[in-house]
Amino acid sequence: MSTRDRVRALLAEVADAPATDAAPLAIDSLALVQLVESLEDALQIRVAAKEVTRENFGSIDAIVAFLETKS
Amino acid sequence: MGGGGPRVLSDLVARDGGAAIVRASGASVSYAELGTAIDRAASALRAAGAREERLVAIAASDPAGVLVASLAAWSVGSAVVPCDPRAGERGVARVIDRARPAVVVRAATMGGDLEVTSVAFPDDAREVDPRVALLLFTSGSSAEPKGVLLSASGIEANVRAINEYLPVGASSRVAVVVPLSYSYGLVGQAMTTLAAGGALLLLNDIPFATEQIDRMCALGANGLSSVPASLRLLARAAIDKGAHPPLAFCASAGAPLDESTIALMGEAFPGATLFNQYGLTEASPRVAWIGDRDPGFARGASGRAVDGVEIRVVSEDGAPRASGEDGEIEVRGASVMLGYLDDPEATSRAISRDGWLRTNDVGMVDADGCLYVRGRSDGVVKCAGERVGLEEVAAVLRRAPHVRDACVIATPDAAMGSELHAFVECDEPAFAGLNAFARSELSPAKRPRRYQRLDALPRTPNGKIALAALRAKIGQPS
Repeated sequence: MSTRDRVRALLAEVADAPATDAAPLAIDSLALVQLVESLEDALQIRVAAKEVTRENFGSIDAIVAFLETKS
Repeated sequence: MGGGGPRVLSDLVARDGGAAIVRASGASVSYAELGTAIDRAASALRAAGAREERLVAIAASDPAGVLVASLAAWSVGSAVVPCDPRAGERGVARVIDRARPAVVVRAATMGGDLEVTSVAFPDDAREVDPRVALLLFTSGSSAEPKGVLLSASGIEANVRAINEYLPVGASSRVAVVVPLSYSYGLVGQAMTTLAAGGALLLLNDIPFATEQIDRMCALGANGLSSVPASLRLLARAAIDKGAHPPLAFCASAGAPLDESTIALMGEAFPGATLFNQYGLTEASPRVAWIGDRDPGFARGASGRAVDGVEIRVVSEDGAPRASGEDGEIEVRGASVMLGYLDDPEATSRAISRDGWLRTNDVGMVDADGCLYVRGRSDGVVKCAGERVGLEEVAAVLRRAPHVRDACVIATPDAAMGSELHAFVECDEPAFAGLNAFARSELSPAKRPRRYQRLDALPRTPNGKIALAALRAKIGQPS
């Protein structure tokens, strides 16, 4: 599964899917932390609290780009 | 009309003062402007058919608009049923189906402009007890969420009781990060702050704790209340960024407060008085509180009863427990709900003849009269501070196509409080579609985090699902 598909699948567990990968996530701060935790588990990475920003987690595109910097 | 109807709640709002509602962007309305906005929204509601003994559903997404619309509905004597926009269109539709409001507010602005739909009365809309001000749907042990009917006088009493201990006043700038569709957000935070003439900083439409902290610093937030999972996020973000909002108080409720969360709150918000609180929707909501100067606070105590509320702990047969002994927590007072919507049986199970409300929470009161809450006794868990009924989630999964049976258990999760595991009796093709089905039917906090397919759920000799065997499958003690 590609990183993008994995992000989509994990996001779908905690929030409603956005219309496009570039669209802002309709998610609240607690659901967002669930997503971060699932990504940490699935990809064996660590995400610091200060990295959970709009720039890194504002959309599926943003998350995929952020994860690329982590690998 | 008066007489304890919903108008007492719009009358609670301070008449003058500086900013009443402040958005994340900094845009705000003063108390005078809020009064004008409420009047404008009230006219629209009245024209749409809102009046005493009727319900107004608020399905708007802008939190400032939700607040203005709720206050406007109370000012015309109507009861309010909030719809959590995070529940999606279907979730909102389900609330409206069950509540049968006379008016539905689809959109609302801070200035009091509303988009409303009228529902025919009395054909399709219901009449409610004139004392009812709020109808909130909350999860219990049953398959469907229950509608909790709260009285205006009970909510008013609770707002006043909270403001006896929470240091909120005209100079307060209280950050709100929880939804206003919960009693905690709407009554425990918004109404208490507006009654005290302080400013409400509505940051609950921002998903990023890092941004919430930035906005709290920029807007000079000096008060904050939330659930532990959210307080941990905010505290970590504040510490990581070295950005410390000037909080005079930081209060927790909705789930037990542990030592590590207390330590994070202390480090992130130095100078803030910390509070732990206990309550439940059925009690409008606040029942007990404790401040950090009390030695019980560091031990995780929920503290002492708020003004006008009595607490006792009883055994299974209803006999009062001695101090230090665990039992079920019961609560009595003006803020106890009127009952559950359309469910007299559940109401009489929940409230005794002499007015004691069964909380379904287990705990004890120590020799100093300090309450400690252990957890639920009825298959309800807290995920991120939200009540989730395990049977309710399982019932939804059982409705999925070709699913024969389902069982949901919860395991502890450091960040969220609980994590849901679903065990589903079905075949492979049905299992593949299950996650999508759960997404369409359940709000995010209620969606299982993990799924396991089984050809047959393990059962005890009398046919009940063997929970211990399911727990063993995921390496959990029973």
